[in-house]
Amino acid sequence: MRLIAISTADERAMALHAEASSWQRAGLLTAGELARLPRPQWRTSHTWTRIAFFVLAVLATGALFALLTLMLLPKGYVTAAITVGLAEYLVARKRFLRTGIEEGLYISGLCSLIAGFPGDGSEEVILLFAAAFLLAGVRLANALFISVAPLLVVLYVALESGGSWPAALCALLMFVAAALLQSRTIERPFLSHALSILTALLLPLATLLWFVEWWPAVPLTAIALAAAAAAGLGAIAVLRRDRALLAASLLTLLVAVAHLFPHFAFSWEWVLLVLGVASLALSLLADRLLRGRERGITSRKLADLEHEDMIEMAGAVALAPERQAPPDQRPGGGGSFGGAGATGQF
Amino acid sequence: MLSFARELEALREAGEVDPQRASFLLRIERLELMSVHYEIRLAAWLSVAAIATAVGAILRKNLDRIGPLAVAFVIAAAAGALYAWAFVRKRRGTAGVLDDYLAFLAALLVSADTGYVEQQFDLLGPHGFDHLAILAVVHAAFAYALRSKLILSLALAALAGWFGVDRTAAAMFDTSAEIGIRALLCAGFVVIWFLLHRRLTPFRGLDATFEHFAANLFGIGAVALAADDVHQWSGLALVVIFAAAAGTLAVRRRSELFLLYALAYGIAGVSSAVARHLKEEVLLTLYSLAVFAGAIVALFVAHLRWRFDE
Repeated sequence: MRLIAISTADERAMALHAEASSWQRAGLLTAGELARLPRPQWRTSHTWTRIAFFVLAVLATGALFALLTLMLLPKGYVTAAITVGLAEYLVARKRFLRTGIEEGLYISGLCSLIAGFPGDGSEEVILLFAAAFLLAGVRLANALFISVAPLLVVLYVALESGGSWPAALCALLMFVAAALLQSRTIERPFLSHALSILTALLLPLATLLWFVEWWPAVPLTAIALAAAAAAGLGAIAVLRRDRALLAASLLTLLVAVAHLFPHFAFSWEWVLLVLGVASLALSLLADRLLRGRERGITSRKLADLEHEDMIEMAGAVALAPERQAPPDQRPGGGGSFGGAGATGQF
Repeated sequence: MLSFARELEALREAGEVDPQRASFLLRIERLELMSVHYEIRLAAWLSVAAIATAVGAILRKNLDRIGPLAVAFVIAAAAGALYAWAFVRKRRGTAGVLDDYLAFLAALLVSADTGYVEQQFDLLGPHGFDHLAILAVVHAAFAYALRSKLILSLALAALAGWFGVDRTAAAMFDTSAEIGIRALLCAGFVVIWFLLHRRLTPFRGLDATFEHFAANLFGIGAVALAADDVHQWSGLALVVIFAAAAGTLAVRRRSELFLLYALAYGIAGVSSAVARHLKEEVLLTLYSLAVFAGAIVALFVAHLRWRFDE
């Protein structure tokens, strides 16, 4: 039995097919050409179904764990044996991969095993969870699971050291390692994706942990240093056309800017308004300047994300006006203008 | 970094992909061309959300310092300018995704302004909630004029707000039947509006927005009724009808999301009714295990039987 369930060739073919589907939706490839691409014989699911399968598998595992607890049986071992065993069967025999079922069963089974261990809840258990995510991630070629493991290690360092500096340093070191590794050509798509996710997240996390030492008033020099580092990395990212590094740079800049708020003489809402307007203007400018470019960085749509309409619709609903209590039933003082102020509740 | 240049070259040489298209895709894979389309869209969306949040907070905190009329006027002027920009770009045929976001920001500002004016001047008196109905109409008019799904979503959300349907998930399990009936009435209204829209307008791009809103409102209403002590049986019947209808639509359309609506609201509705009658913890846990495992099998069989492409 190989450690990683899927071969490199099969995984690359699957990843290419997913990429080509987005090219086809963006009109860069015809449906006929997409159909002619090689497609390995693994069972997979579309995004929403994969999420549903994952949630259902986790809930089913949780119910099994609870049932064994109520029956006073060895909950951790039995749950893990059943769910991980079933997941292994689905992967090895039925060629399930990225359906959500085997992913939910595998990770919740391993977590149940750890939760079933006798212990006093010491912090070392976080490392066990990190190992579980790493194992499940490698076995199922799942980039998200692998990405969780280093984040849990950072959490462990933060809790164990009792301060945020060591955790910030740990996150920074892992960021450097991830950024260097992901800048090389990597054959395995899941490893490449995991390293990209970690590159994008670890630097802003390191910055945040570094700033925690001074909360709520972070010194301007520290903010300036973080912003300068982010800007420098952004420039490197643009030159190298490195999307993960660009995301790391933008998120770190966001963390730095968010900590500027206490230093302003104006209240946060005015600063947010100015930043929002400036950021919107910059977005419009960047879109206009980059739209016609045929080389380098462009704002043209070269891929089409699945379900982007649904995501935007959900975002619109989150910002939508909402009904609140009428004026005569409102409690005195406070109040809000929820949903962009449409409620008018004070 | 990940690159499929090798595979694309092989496909081009084998004649599986048109050489010109393959060359263009190779440029993307070799990073000679990199799109930041989604990064710019995300930045624009976050900016719009930040502006809308800031305006709401400014209105709340600075009423004493700024005159109500001045505030109302400034916000209305900003919304008007943004709408004017969106209309000009639309007329010129140069409107892009970001212009849709600007129009959406205008709609959010109109929402804020309407709520503020109603709060300050109490124009509608005891019918203060009706400003949400007015908002729904105004947003709908702009949504049609600009063919904007985002503004239509805002119009439908304002309508739901007027009917008193809370957008939080907790509302679905509200023990009173009132929220369920309100949601069902709102779903009925959205369905009638959708039928008129289908008959009277050529804008098929907006159809999906109506369908998803109607489905979710109906699902929320049915589950809320099923969770109610008095109306649990009628609620359960509605949940079953909803699940059957959404499932049928899912199969006909090959729509993955409608299948998930059928499953999610079906499980939530049936479970809320069943859980009331199962007092033993072991039985309840056994039921949960059976439902979740059964749902996995049902969803899997549905996917084997019908290919879902959405």
